[in-house]
Amino acid sequence: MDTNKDKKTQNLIDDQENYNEFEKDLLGFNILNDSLKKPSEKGFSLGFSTQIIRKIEIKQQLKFNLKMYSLFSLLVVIGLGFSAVLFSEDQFLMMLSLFLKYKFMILFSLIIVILIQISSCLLTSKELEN
Amino acid sequence: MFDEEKTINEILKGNLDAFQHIVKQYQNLVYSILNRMMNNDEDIEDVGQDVFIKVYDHLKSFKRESKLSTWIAKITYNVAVNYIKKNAKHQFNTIDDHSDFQFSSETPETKLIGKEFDLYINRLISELPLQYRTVITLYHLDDFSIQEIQKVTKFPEGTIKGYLFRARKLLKEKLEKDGYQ
Repeated sequence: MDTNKDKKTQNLIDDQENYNEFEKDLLGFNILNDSLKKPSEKGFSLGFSTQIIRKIEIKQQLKFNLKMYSLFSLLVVIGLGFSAVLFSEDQFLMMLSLFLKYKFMILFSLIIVILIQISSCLLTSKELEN
Repeated sequence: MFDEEKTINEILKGNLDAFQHIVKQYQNLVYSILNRMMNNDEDIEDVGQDVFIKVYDHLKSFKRESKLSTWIAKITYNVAVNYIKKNAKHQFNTIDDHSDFQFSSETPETKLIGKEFDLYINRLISELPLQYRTVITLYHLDDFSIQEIQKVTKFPEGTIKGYLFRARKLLKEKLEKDGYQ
């Protein structure tokens, strides 16, 4: 512990000493100064800025979709609440029997819609990763 | 001509074309920092994209207290440090680990000039500890002042000058040993 503290204190003292040395140092050794100022010949790929814009657009689309889904869910909840108040027991039983009659078709349609949504989300996140 | 203030206002209104101008304007700055801090070209490209997406997401909070270039450099530095810490723990050494630092590059057989000499210097810099590489890049390559480097890295002024002095000293000693004056 103490050795570490001593080392850090020594480094601080060294930094202070280097503080003035640094100014003088910059004046000499031009070959190094010139080379340090030269930028690398490499850079980002050619479509770099376009890729970023595409990623931002996808992110914005995802945000928009999320807002839409939240709004839709809220409307469904409100609709269910209203129907509970407005419909009588007989009307509910009629609707239930109708649902049971077409349950396979309704469930099949629901599964298809959910699968499409999931695959679309997976494709979008894959696109974002690339 | 590139009007920074106008471009920022356009981006805040939702104009993505304006943001593409910002990317094109500062991609060399971001690349120069990442290129010195990281080794893998693919990582540099990925982290570069993360940097600009962060710049876009946080542009609202840019208070114009510093230059936009300093603000972008600060984001670049923070994203790169986090990435290095997360993905390559062995690369993120502290200066203390390098108290008896030695270059591993051997002296070239012939005296190098021009591009070959610059490549050799870049190789030597890539061997320096991360903090040295960062400050030497910001100071010499990106023309940042000590105060600007302080804003980017949060190192104290004396420490930055110390790092710069020691990094340059190591490079000078190596070059002198190689026969350059």
